[in-house]
Amino acid sequence: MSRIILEDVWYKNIVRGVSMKAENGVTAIIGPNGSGKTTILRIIVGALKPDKGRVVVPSRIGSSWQNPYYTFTKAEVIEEFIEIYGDKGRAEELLKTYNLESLKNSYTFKLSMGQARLISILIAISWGPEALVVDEPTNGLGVREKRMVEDLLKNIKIPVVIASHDLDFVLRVADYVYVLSNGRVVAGGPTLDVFYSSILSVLGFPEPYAVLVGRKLSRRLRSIE
Amino acid sequence: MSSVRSIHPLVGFLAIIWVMTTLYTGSLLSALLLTLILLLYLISSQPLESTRRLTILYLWLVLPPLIVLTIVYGPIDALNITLRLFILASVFTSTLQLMKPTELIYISSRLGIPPLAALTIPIIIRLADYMNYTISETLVALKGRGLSGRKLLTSLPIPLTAHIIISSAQMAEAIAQKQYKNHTKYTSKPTIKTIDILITTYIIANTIIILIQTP
Repeated sequence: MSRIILEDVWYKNIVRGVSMKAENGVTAIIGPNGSGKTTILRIIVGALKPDKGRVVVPSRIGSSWQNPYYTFTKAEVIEEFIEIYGDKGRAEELLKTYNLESLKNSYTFKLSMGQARLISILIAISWGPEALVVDEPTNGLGVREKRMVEDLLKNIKIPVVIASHDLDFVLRVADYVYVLSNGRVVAGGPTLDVFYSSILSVLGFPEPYAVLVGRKLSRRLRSIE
Repeated sequence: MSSVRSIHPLVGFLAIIWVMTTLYTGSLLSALLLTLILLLYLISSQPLESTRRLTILYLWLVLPPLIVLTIVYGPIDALNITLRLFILASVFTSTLQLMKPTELIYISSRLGIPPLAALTIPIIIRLADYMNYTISETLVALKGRGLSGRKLLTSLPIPLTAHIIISSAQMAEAIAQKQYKNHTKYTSKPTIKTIDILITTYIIANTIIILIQTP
């Protein structure tokens, strides 16, 4: 079973002694702007070499970044998947599985941001990586596409690490969450535990709608009891 | 990426011409000192990350010839040639990055040079940092889809070209949105600053010394 382990990782003044672990399921990194989320992802994929610390990662890591268009190398969507699978039938089948048949002959660089991100993530998982890294998976996504990305990430059988600002999305998709502030992990654990702790409000994050409702319901339940 | 500090375009060109002449006549040390002054001035005006990338660029430019020339001609000659290469590259990059485009157009328009011609090289050099960043981002993204080795390098131009075209269209839209036609100030008159006086004095003083020393 592949896994991602970071132990006391330092990178300049951006990442300061970060330790985290990602096994099967989705692990989310959340934190304010400039807290070091993307830098950690770049360390995981090997684009940045940490100054100090231990990084254990599988040799094949798929990734999708903030600009999804950088991933494309073909004119049409279907061609991207034919290149990966070497077979038109399998490529069409994949697009059908994810209800993306309508994009089959679309020009890759003319896709909307949401569609491009979706295809970029799909390309990143299609070549058979042992782990997946996605930076800001919901940037520019509409409601339907967000749900599709959610389904996609939840059903992958490899460790997935995402960095996101979208707390509602993180609550829906992530099994574990690490909260970053000034390059340090200030909280980490199962998603619900972290979201129900006070750390998010301390950092100035608005509580996700579901957490807010949950709190109100539990207060009401207590008052009834 | 854009420097807050700048030099007078004429002083910049004077520095380039003087360094090239000095290298030809053989005063390596004087040329190196002026280059270092310009580099320090440039470094002090830009973010650390840009300096890091500039250093990597210079290392790539200098190290391979140094190694090859050391094998072919020996260490002394190799160092001599590589140092000249470094001086030439850094005097061009630093002066062209330190010139303000609007001041450059002001000067070139008075010399009868078309603005586009005057701007091309400084713009390319100013954008080199951003280009470098975009290339590294694209490489990471392509590795993320499983490409490596020769396939990675041959695929690189495709997303890069698309990015250039998309960015150009977006920039054109943004400029149109900002009602660029209403902005009539395409040029600005260059002012003479302390650094300009320092560089000019250095060049004049060194030229006099060289002339005196020449039999």
